[in-house]
Amino acid sequence: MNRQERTDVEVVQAVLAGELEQFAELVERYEKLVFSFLLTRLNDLQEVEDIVQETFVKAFRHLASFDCERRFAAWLLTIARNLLIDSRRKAGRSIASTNLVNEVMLTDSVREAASQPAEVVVRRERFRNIVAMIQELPEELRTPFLMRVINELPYQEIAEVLEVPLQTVKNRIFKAREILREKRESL
Amino acid sequence: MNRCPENDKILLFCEHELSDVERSQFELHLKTCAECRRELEQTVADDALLRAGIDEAFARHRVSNRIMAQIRNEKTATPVADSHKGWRYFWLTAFALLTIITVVSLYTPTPAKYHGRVGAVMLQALNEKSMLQSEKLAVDQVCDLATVEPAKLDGCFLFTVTSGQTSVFKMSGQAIARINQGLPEFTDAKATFELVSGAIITILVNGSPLKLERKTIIPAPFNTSDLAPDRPDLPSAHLPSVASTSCASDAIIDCMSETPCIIDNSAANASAATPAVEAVPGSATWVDPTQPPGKNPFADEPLKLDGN
Repeated sequence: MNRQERTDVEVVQAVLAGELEQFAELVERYEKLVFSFLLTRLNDLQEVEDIVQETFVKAFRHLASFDCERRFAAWLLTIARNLLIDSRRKAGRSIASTNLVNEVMLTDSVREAASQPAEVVVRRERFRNIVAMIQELPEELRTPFLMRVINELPYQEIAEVLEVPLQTVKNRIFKAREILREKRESL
Repeated sequence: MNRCPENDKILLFCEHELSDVERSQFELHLKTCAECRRELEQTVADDALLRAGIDEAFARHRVSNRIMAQIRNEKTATPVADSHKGWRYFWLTAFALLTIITVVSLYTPTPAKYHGRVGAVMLQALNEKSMLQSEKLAVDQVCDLATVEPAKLDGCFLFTVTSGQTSVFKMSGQAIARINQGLPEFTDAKATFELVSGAIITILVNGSPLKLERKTIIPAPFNTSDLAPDRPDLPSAHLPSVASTSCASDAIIDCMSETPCIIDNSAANASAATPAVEAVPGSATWVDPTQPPGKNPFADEPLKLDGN
């Protein structure tokens, strides 16, 4: 994650002072984090979009209650997690599902190389397998792993966002990688 | 399949968790170990593929414009202060204040205003021969009459009554004490009563109101030394039965007598039909309300236990 010139707290204070457009900076910083957090937990990308949007709108509405001692990202993920649980409870659906996400990702994510269609197929299949394996990870391992790989956050920042000790983050990411490697070898 | 012994370092290498020396050694190892090199390349490639795929999905499904559009269209265009936060601070503040008050009150020595709680009738043995329920009490032992009533008393006792005002009187002799409307009532009494300090108080003794008005300074017509508890065998047959705390005469309640209690003028003039406590402004014998609990309230003023 790029270093920000202004801290999250400074941006929050600016928004609270009436500079509403400044909130876009917080959206820019953390939309991908929330998106990736939800992506491996939902099987419907439209639902992912909706919850991402709802997360930020809710954060905006309750910005005055944000505890500046916490990491803004941690607060956002808490909101996202609660909305996800509410969504699942209302819909009565299981949290983990793979098929639709995989399918959407396949069409979305892997660029087709017209000149090398065979390679595209291999990459799609590989991508499908990776996502499926990640979705099978326990959440306590999956979240720090995704923050590390997708958001490329340093350990310390992950620890602060997840509000767990630094060594715990390292252990969980390492454990996630071990599991993924074992799964990959068993394919 | 047997793994290369260095295989476990791949993940540490990916996570930059190897020391500089270990990293250099592993990089040398990679040059010669195809298995580890392949494993490392696959791990890196998988990370890149995952990142690229999700980046692509994110690029297609970004909602930042929708978020900002909704925020701009919010009815209230400013974030609403969370009412829960206000209440949270209110309760936190209230809890903090309550804690501080509790701690301060616990660790601040509270001046004892009397022997016992408000509304209590406390009795205290004044000598080692004082008996409660036929058992000796330790000198200065204090107990709440409410917890021992009906209290069969024999000896010399100090009563501290707190009912708005504090009254302290002494009973010497025998009686059964209980609490009636917050005040001590004595039955089967063969005893003297004398106000020692505090407010005027009217108590019921053998069914009759007895007004204790002032500290007794007239000696009793018999030996009522506190060191020798008043004897029940009072010479009531030939001595006048009196019940008084006036300075004109002392009082004896002779329950053995069939005749009504003789009450001196001041007592007889007591109009209080029901027991009451009255303040005595400027009383020289007012109980110091700051005396610590358990301390004889007469400590500052030597008590003349013999009634003199």
